[in-house]
Amino acid sequence: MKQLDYADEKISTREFILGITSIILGIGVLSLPRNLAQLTNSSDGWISILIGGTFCAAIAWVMAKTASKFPKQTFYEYTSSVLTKPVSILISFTYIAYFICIAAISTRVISGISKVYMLERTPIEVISLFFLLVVIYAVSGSRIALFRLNLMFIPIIIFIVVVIQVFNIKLFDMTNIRPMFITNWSNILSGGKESIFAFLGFEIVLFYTILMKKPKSAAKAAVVGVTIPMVVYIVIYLFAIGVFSNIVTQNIVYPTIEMAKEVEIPGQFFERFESIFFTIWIMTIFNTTAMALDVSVYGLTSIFPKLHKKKLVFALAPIIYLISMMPQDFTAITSFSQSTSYVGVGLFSIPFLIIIVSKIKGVKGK
Amino acid sequence: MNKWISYPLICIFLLILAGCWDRVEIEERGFVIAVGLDKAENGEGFELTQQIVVPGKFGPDSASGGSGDAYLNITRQGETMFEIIREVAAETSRSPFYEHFKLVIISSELAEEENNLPHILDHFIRYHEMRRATKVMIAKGSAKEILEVEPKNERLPAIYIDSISVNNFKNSRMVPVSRIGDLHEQLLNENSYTIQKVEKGEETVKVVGNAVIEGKTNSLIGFLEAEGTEGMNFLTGEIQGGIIKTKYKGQDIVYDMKTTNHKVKTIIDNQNNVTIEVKIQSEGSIGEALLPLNFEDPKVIESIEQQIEQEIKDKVMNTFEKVQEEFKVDIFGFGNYLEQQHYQKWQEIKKDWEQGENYFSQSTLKPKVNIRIRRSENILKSYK
Repeated sequence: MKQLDYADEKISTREFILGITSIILGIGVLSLPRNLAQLTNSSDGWISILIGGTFCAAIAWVMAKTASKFPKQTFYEYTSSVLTKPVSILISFTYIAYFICIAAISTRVISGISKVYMLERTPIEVISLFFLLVVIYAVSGSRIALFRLNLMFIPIIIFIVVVIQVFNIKLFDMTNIRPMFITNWSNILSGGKESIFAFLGFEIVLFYTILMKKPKSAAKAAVVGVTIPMVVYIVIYLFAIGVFSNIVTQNIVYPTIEMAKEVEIPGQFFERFESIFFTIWIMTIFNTTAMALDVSVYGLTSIFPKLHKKKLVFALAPIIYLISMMPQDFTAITSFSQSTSYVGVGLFSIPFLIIIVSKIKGVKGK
Repeated sequence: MNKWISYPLICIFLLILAGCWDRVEIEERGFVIAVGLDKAENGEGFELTQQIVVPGKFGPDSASGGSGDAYLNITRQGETMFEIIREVAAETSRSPFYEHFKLVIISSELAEEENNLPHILDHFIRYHEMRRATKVMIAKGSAKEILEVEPKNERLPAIYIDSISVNNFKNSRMVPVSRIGDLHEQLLNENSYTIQKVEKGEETVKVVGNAVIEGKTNSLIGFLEAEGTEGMNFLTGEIQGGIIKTKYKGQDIVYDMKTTNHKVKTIIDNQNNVTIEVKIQSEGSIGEALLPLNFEDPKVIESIEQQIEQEIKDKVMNTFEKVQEEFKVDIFGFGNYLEQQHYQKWQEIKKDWEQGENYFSQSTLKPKVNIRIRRSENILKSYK
């Protein structure tokens, strides 16, 4: 494989923003409307998304601020300068394992969905394998190229989301949206927790800020990168409730997919619009998986600079494949991704730890 | 890479990548477009009739060389839908394929029994080949016979029924289509609701009137015939057009509704008396007048408008009272408006809305109708 050479191994602010958006948008939104509808009444779940999204944006801001304090250092380097080497290795490995799990879950869920809706008789193992092979191909290339791929895919993804909502306007029923503001606060907050899970992945700012041309704009960019999926989520959620009503949304496994299936393009020329949606959503999940794998590889190469990147990719891929094949059924996948999400939320404390310890120790970045 | 390795590798990839694990040729698929459900003869389980398209029979007769029907009806009996469908797969050369499925027709005999509806619909909502836009109808009589009707201008009975079911913008007595997705919502909410009724005529089928389904038991409790349907459409705001005939000075005048608008306001007092105000606004023209009238005189127009308003009020009141007395269930969805407009109060009275105290049958309806005649169409008078 010949690699394209780019002039500089740096990413622009826009690429950074869309990189965050790409890793966030993925499998979470497919079932998010159901999870929220189960917790909230009527259409109130959008408040939960707003709360969860704002919280995540704040965390992303803190993470980017922390990372941009050390603009020339990798995550491993600056954590070990602040928190000592063994602690830093521990944290890095937790993050790497966490991103590997995200990649594995994404692979598993998209393979499962492809099997149910499109490739009925193809074994899930085969679908996952081929999906992962493409991911490996993407990650073993240039890291900058991966960011530019996000840049190319995001407009298409936003476009398909808009198209689905537009074609569903006919089915949108305002009576499903009202009454508003009737859910009690504790349920809104647990809905907020649920939506945080759909935002996970933005922690890549800790690792990628070093690649930025202007690391100073990282914090702002991180907030924007989280806000874009937040808007997408709120739109999808409100449309799901408007089209299906709260109680039906509670009972549809993947409301977002079902909305794509509801699309009827007038003229009876096009049927089965959802096949286009699947194609594009596989791209979205491809982005998520590729970014997650790339972060893990990046984390490992910064700890072991002598290891070759491609070898690492080929070493990690089978691990991802095996993890993704472990859960046996729908509930096992759900509980596995739940526990991964809890680890992710727990890791939110890392940037605060770094800030506090560096204040006490008086460590300064360059 | 060594070319001795890479060239054979490329050849192998060419071979395996060009295939498709899930390939099913289009000639091998049996496109099911409609199913009809009747009671099984022995009284237990269901009798499912699948209408499968035979694509070869489409197009000009000479070209395809085949005469005869473009469809095939296969009837089998069983306990569950899935079981029957898969049983048919073992018997026909074309395995049933539901991605282009359009219509479920259920016989009234089946629908009358408690919870038969959800039992029948579960598979058609659940299975991944199905879509939520599939239509559901209740057949007065046998569903199988409806699928055997021979339409004059269509090749497929199911497509024929499907297309007449959506003509409601020309006919105010036509019930809005019942999508399976909407029924899913009603089933989960335990609301009472209506389903389009289909009936076999001598040579055609008619899609008029409503089958009234009680929400708690999910069973058919009666039919609301054409006149009642019209009133109901005014109350639910589902009216999309149609005509109103009224008498003016002893002669008939027909008003053609072009646009209609509908608003519902609910009032609930401390004794839980519910008042429902329905505002109906419509604009339209005079489509037929059997007497010469001076349409340039605003007073004449106004009195005709009042006449039509009264006509609509009567229709609406008749339907509402009939439903209150006969069925005692809220098929108009006024409960939803109560939930939206008086959320706290609704939580208290929800249980007694259709059951128990049955506040619905004690509620009062206040229709407010506002008609605007915009035009008298092309002429003023047709004779002196």
